[in-house]
Amino acid sequence: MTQLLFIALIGCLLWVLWLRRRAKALELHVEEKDREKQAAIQLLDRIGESLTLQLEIEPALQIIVEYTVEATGAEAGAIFLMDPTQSYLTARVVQGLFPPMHGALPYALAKRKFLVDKVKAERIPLGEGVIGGVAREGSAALITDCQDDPRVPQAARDFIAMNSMMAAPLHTRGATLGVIAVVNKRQGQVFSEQDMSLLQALADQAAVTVDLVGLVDEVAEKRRIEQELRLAHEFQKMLLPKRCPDVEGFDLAAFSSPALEVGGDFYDFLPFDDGSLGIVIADVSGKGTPAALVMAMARSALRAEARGCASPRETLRRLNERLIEDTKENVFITMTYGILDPRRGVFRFARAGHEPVLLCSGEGEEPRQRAPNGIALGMVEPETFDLIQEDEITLAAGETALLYTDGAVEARNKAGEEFGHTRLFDSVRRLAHGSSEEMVRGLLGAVQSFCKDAPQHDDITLVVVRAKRAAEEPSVEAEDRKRLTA
Amino acid sequence: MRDRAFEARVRRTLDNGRAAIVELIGFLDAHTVGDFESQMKTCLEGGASRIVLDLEKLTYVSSAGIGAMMSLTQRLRREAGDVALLRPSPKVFKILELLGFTEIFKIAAGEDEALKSLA
Repeated sequence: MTQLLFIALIGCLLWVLWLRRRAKALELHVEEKDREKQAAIQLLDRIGESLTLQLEIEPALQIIVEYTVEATGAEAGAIFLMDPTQSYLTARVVQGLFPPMHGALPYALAKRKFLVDKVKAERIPLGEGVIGGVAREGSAALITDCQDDPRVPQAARDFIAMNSMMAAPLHTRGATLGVIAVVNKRQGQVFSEQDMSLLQALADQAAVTVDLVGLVDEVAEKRRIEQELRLAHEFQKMLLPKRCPDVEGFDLAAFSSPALEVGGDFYDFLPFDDGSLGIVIADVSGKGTPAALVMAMARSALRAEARGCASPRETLRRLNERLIEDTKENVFITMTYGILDPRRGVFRFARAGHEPVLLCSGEGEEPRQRAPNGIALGMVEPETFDLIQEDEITLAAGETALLYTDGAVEARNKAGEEFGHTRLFDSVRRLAHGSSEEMVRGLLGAVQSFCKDAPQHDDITLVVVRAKRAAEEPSVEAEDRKRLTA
Repeated sequence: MRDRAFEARVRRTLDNGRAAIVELIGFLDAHTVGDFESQMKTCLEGGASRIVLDLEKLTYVSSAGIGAMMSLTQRLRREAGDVALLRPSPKVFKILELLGFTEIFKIAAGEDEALKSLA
């Protein structure tokens, strides 16, 4: 009986001892978790302070790395972010003597500055070594013996006496944004599981910050681009004529609709002292702001060259010489430029690689294309460009000349079919009896109802020049013209 | 969109990589011109100075695409190289003709003829 009591007593004692130990361990665990929590909160505080001053990624990353190095008792640390294509990582902030993690080590790295530059210049492919591995797997790594671990590159081991390192992914909203890594625990110690758990807690906070700043950046960038596009659009609108000039005996209408906020199409009217009118339509290759800038340049260059030059061919020749100097070699401009002499009812023009001029009688006949030789502007040397020819159209009463850009022909519907020349010709024929304004509206309507809700692929620009019928304007000039064209 | 896809594929290299025949397939416009340019960059880095662009399967080329072809041609001509266009479809030929670029590009109906025009 005594024996039994004794055994029970010993059992109780052991149980109490085990409980105390367990309590101690739990306490330690709680302390550990507490430390992590505290550290995470403190990191958030510091990041918060920085972000209220400026919402930029670099200073926030600096704080994250500094604090992580301090909290984990490491000698050095770095934060790597994933590139937008998700194929490699680059170090954005480096603190302390952090070794290169990719490629060989040049001797020039004796100086710390060079080292930081080298580490930042490296592109670590996703999956490569410890950094690329952590990014791909999405889970933290603890390496307690760097000298013996193939995940640590030889160059890094050679560079400093590395004993241990750890790396944790910056993971948020189902994506890995980067990796934070620290090397060598101070005073010759080795990183432990607890240290790694702390690093992961800090990495989770860092991830939220990187994600947030990235989103803010994206929104700001989007807003900036929208603002720029709006300005460019306004600027471009200013360059287009506000209204078509009044020309005796003629009825003019024009319209330009950019596919994006800004486009590369333009048209212009240049009234000359002798009563004639310069008419131009052009299409700059490419779209968006770069095309719009070339368009602005081409427009002013043409205005300068056209003054005092009675030959459209010569004007385009000079314009080409100017543009070949000023445009990039993959940019060209197609243009038709002509001079309308309203007294004679003659439109004399040259075509630099632009769509043909369409001529329509207004009596339901098939439109005729006029396409004299000519090469797009800004591409070839004067000797080659010289093959450009001039052509002349006499517009009899009721006849229409249509100048258009390829956006009108190449507009597509959802099935991918083009509006095409046939539909354009049919529409022109159908609309030829009406006013210029009616033709512009009618053509745009025809393109729109064909494309329905498919997005507009290219800019569309139209210029219509119609000789009024005698009944519309019973003037002496009109009578003269009738005689001339009869 | 699938119907707007584009691919540039080196079909054959000759003369130790100094000449290349590159097939352009699909829709070459502002969106896909980057793929064309990077394939050409690879060819030039590989030492090609005479390039035949096979356009038989090119369904559409926009002004951005033609600009890139012109830019390549001018670059190679400066270095005593050149570009020839092989079998453009009637539609692509019409675009080139309208732009006046049939005066600039060498256009051939067969591979041998194209290579000979570059020699």
